[in-house]
Amino acid sequence: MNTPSNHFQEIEQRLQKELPQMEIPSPRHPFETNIFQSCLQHTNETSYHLTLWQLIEKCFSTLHLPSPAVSTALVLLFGFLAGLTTPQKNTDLKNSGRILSQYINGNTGIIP
Amino acid sequence: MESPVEISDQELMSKIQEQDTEALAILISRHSYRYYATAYRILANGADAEDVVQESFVKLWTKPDRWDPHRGASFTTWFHQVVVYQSLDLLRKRKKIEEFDFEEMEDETSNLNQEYLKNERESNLWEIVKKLPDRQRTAIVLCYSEGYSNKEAAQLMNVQLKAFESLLVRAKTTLRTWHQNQTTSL
Repeated sequence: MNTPSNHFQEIEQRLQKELPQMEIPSPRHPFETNIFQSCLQHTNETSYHLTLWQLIEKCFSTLHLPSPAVSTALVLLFGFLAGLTTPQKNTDLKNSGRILSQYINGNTGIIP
Repeated sequence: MESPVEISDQELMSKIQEQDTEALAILISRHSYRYYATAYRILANGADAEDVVQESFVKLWTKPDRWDPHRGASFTTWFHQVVVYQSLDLLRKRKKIEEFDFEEMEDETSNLNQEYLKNERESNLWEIVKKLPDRQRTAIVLCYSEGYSNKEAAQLMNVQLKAFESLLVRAKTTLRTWHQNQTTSL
């Protein structure tokens, strides 16, 4: 008589026997070529970025500069420090209206 | 280059690390169908299996140093795991459901399956396995077709061993219902 545990054993046996032997439908043609081309496509994308970066690095090394990343960081740092330390030279611009009116009134003390 | 048959997978992989396209072509022609079969069993869909194998080879090509022969795993074992991971990843993305909800949904689907299978006249076991919820089918395939132990398969599926065993039991219960009905209707 077939009991539930017998059914369990039978299904276990069938799984062990039949699953590894199951038929797999063939992939669409040309499967291998598609994989290969897809890989190559990724190579081209990667090498484009690498070449561009390498080109910039090469330019910097030809000019005896540190690497592009270091150079950019140094430029930004110097620019920042220069901005902080340089005194403001826009006094003339601020006073330009006053100077102009004084000049018009002939009271500037500036020799035209 | 030597005859493709003479070159080991390890040698091919070291050539691939130097971006040797010929080595890549040999590796693809040597293994693609085998891994397609693995992906097909997990995904139960030919087009998805093709995509998974393609993605796995692209990963291998763009990051070949991911395989380290000194860790002890052969290339085939390592790449088999890559394909299994990719397949499971695709299943997860397709569902886009939290783990907890997923479990609940599977229970419902499983009950539905049991009802449905009462009238199922299909005699091919794989056709029935294909209709199981994704995670139950994956559990069955990893154990009975891909030869993983329960512990290894649980690790691959990123679940606790008990949860994995529960998946197996649910799947086998569904299959038993089908088998029972099949034998009684004969």
